[in-house]
Amino acid sequence: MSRDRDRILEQALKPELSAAGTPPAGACLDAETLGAWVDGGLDPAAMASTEVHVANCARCQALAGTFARSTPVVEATEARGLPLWKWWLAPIAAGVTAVTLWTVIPEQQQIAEAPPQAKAADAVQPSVATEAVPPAAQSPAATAAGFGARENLAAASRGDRQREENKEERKQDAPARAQERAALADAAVPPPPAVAQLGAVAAPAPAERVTTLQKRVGQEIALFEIPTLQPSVRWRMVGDFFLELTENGGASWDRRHQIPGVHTGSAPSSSVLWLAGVNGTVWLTTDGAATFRQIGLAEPLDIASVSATDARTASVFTVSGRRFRTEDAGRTWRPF
Amino acid sequence: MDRHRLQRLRDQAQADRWKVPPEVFSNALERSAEKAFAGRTPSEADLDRYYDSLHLADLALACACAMGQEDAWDHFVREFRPGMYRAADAMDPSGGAREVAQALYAELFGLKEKDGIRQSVFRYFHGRSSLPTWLRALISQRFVDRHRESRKLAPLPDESSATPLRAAPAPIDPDRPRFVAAMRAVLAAAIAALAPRDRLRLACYYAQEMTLAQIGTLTREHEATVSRQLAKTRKAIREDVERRLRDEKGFSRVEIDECFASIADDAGNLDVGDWLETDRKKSGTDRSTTEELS
Repeated sequence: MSRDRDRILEQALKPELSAAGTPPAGACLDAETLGAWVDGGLDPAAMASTEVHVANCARCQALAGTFARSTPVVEATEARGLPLWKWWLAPIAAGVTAVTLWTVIPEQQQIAEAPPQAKAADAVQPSVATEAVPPAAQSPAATAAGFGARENLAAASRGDRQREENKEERKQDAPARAQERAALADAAVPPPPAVAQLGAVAAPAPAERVTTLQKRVGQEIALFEIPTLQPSVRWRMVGDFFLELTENGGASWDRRHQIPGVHTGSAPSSSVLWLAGVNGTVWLTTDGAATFRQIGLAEPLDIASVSATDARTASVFTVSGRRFRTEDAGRTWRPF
Repeated sequence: MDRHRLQRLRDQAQADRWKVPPEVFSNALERSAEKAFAGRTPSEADLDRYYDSLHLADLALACACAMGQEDAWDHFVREFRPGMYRAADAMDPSGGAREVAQALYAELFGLKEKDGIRQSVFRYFHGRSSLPTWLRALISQRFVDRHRESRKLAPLPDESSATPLRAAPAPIDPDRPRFVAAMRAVLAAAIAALAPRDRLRLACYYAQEMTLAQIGTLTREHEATVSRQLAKTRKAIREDVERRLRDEKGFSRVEIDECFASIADDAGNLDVGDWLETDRKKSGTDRSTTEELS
C-alpha cells in the first residue's frame, strides 16, 4: 500500500514541484553568486539564504539545472583540476574488456552460443527520432567494445579476422570515423534499434566461471556505484563489468549480470535501473535486473552519463557533448 | 588595503604575470569582500580567511582582461573561450546558448564604453568561484533569462513534463474532481511545509532532473546522502499527505486511496506557465539585471 502510494507521489512530484511554490524571498541569483555556490565560495549564512531562495524560485531552479547540464562537457575538456577520472573510465573499461576477451576466449569456445541478441527486436519497432546510424551499422570494433557479453565473447572467439578488422578500425583517426558516421547517417534508412533481453543473453555467470575469470584478471575493481532512493539498496559495477546489487546497505552483494562497456548508470527506484556506456548503448531493467532491454541510441556515441527519473524518462549525455532524452522507455530518443 | 597583505595576495595570484597594477588588484579584492560581507564589518582574520579562499590567479587574469592586457586576452582566448562554447553547446545543442556565449564574449571584451572607459563584464568577477565556473554560470543565467523572456508561458528549461502514471480504466466517479482537488491541495501544502533544503533537493531532482551528484554539489552532500534525504523527504510527504487527508479533510481510508488514484491520472496536467508568470510578477529585484547589465 505504502509502496503504491510512494510510486504515485513520485509521479506527481515533478509537475507539482514545477507548478507549486511560494513567491521567492529576496533577489534572484546572479552568475557570480551561482558560481560561488557551486564552487563552495559562499559562507554558511549566504549558502543558507541561497538555498531558501532557490527552493522557492522557478527561475533560479532552472538556472541551477541549466548550469548542471553544462558541466559534464567542460569537465571533460578542461585540465584545471576538475574530476577527470570519469573520462578515463571508458578507455580503461575498453582495455579491461579487451584483456578479458583475450584471456577467456579459449574458455568461451566451450560455452554454447546464446540466442542472437537481436532476437527480440521484432517484438518492438521503435521509431528513431534522431538522425542516426543504427546499431547494425556499427563497426566491428564498436560492436566488440559494446554490450551483449555473450555475443561479444563468441564473436571474439571467431578469431584473428575479427581482431584484424578491429586493428584496422582503430587505425582510422577520429575525424575520419566521424565523417564515416555522418555519411552513413545521411545515407542509411535506419532500421529500428535492436531490443534484446539481457536476461536471455547474459545471464549471471556460473560461480566457477566467475572464479576463473577473477583469477585470470586479478583483483576486482569497483568501477562505479549507483545509489537508489532506498539507502540500503545500491547497485555497483565491479571487476569485469559484473553488475551487483546490495539490499542490506553493502553488507553483501549479489552478482546479477556481466555487461561489458557500461560505465554509468542511474537508478530512480530499487527496481528500475538504466545503464549506459560506449557506442550509444543503453540498457534498462524494470524488474530489478531479472531482465534487461537494450534501448540504445541509434547513433554510436559514447555516453558519459545517464540521468533517469523513472522507468520511462531518462536523459543521456554523450562524451561529445550531445544530449538525448527519452520519455517512452527508450523507444525514441530526441536531442535536447 | 594593508601593503603586506596586498603583496602576499598579488604573489599568490601571480598578478605580475599579467602586469596588473597593485591598485587595480586591490580594488578588485575590496569589491569582492564588499559583496561577500554585504552589510557586515569583517574582522581582519575574517578578511584574511576570505582572501585566502579566493581564486586569486583567476581574479588577476580577469583584472588584466578587463584592462585590455593583450597577453591576458590571448591566454583567455586560448584557455577559456573554447570551454565557454563547449558549455553553451552542452546547454543547448541547437545553438541558442552558443549565441549567448558569443554575445557574452563581446561583453567580456568590453565593446561598450562609459565615460571613455571600456566596460568589461569581467569587473563582476570576484574570485569566489573559478573563472570557468563563473563563465558557465553567466552563460546559464543569460540563456535562462532569455528563454524566460521569449517564452513567458512555457515551462523551463524545456517543455518536458512528467509522464502520468496511467491507472487502469475506471468507471466515472462523480467524486473524482473532489478527490483531485483535495489531493492537490494537501500535496502542495505538504511540499510547502518542507524545510528549504529538502524542497531544494526535490525540485532539483524531480523538476530539473539533476543527478544526485549534481545536487550534492549544491548542497555539499555526498550523493548517497542526497539519495537518503530524498527518500526520507518523499516518505515524509506521503505521511503528511495521508495525515492531512485524514485529519483536515476527514477522508476515510478508502477515500484516501481514491485521492492517490486520482492524482495518478492527473499528475501531468498542471499548467506550469500560470505559476511561472505569477512568480515573475511577484519576485523581487533581480540582481542579474541590475548588476550584470548595468
